[in-house]
Amino acid sequence: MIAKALMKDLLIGLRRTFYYCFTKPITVQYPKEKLTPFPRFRGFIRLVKDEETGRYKCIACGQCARVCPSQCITVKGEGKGKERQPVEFNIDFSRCIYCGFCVEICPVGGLENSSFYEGATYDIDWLKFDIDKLSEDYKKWERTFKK
Amino acid sequence: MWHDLGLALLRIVIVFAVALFFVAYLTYLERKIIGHMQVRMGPMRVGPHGLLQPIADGLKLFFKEDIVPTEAYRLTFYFAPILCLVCALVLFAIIPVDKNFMITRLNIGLLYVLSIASVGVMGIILAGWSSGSKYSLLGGLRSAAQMFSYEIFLGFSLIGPLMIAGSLDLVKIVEAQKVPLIVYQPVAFVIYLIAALGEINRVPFDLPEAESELVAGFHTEYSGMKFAYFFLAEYANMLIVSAIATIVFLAGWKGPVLPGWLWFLIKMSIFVFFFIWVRATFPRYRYDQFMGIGWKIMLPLVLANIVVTGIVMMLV
Repeated sequence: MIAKALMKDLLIGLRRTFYYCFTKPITVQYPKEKLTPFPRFRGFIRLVKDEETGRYKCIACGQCARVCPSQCITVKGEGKGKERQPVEFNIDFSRCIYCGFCVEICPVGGLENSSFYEGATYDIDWLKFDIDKLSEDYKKWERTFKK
Repeated sequence: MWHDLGLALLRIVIVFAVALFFVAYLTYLERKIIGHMQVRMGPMRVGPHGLLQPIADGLKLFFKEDIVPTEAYRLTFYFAPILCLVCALVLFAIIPVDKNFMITRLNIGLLYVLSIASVGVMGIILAGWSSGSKYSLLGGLRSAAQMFSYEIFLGFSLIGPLMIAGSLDLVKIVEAQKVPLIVYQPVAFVIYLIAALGEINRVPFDLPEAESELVAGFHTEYSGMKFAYFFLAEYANMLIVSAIATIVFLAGWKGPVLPGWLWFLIKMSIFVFFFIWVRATFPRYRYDQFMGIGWKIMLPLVLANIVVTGIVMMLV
């Protein structure tokens, strides 16, 4: 009764908000500061090149294109056996759902997830990656939102 | 004569410039404080730490299209926000910021504040009624019930301090306080704060606006500068209520060392901070709870407070 008359529960609430008033905000001010994604973050997909030979690891088996739920991958390959290489490899990131199935199913580790995630753009064609763009260093993809 | 007129005009300009500046930056302060209380940052983008945000908001509202619904009663629809704003701003005329600094000294100052404040309520009711929208009408109805009943408690809670101070003149009230009146009248003080929250539509009692129930209540249909008038009026009212609390309960400009006007501003900003703090903390009361608090708890308490004050004054 006395506690109610003194509005104890209300005062507890007020104390709580007052305490939080002096804690550090958890906001990350996005374009200015960015969080580093976790190591296994599934960002944009990259096509991996073999560092020694400079050839694609991909053997154009087409399993990624088959497993892709949103069917945004198209592959065309040339050559026989171990010489087989992709000549066309397109991923349409405007349709990609970043499930990572293609990376998982690849028998030779020819694809990898980068930590790039800033796919908001004014130009939808920018999101349609061809084989050269896919094998670029993903740092090149980073751009500012100002045009 | 011209000298007096010039002085009066100068005072008016200073007081209104400062008041409007405060009102504008109060919106910034509110967003900032609530942001930090919710572990956010509040406005950060416009200017350093978002300091130019109120100016950007003002410009945006100024250049916005002015929409009048076809169902609206045009005359009252235009008139209501102006009434609201004028009633709020006119109250600054009698606030004594320092012993000698006020636009005018009125011997019935407090009565003037209470009466003009109740005319201001009319603006909200007219706005709700003339918008031609269900939500606005409901908001207007609610504010009618809310503000008329909470005005009673607001007035009654000031009677106790008035009996001790023995005057309605705001300057005399301050001068009569050797010790701030909050010491003698703690109950009246608490009830004043609660009633003030109800009177200025602040959050635990923001039933006329009630975003989650009534879209925006009485100003649903308003846009552009007319909406800005309501907005300014709300914050101006907040300043007025804080100023009155400072004068009546915390001995106005009185205080050691610092100049009087600074003391006044410090004490007033304590109240302003409190109102923002409350907004960041509490959810809205249900309508029946709100009326219950008023008529079943606050009214008996405030009447008892007057009776006890009277008896003690007779005995001492």
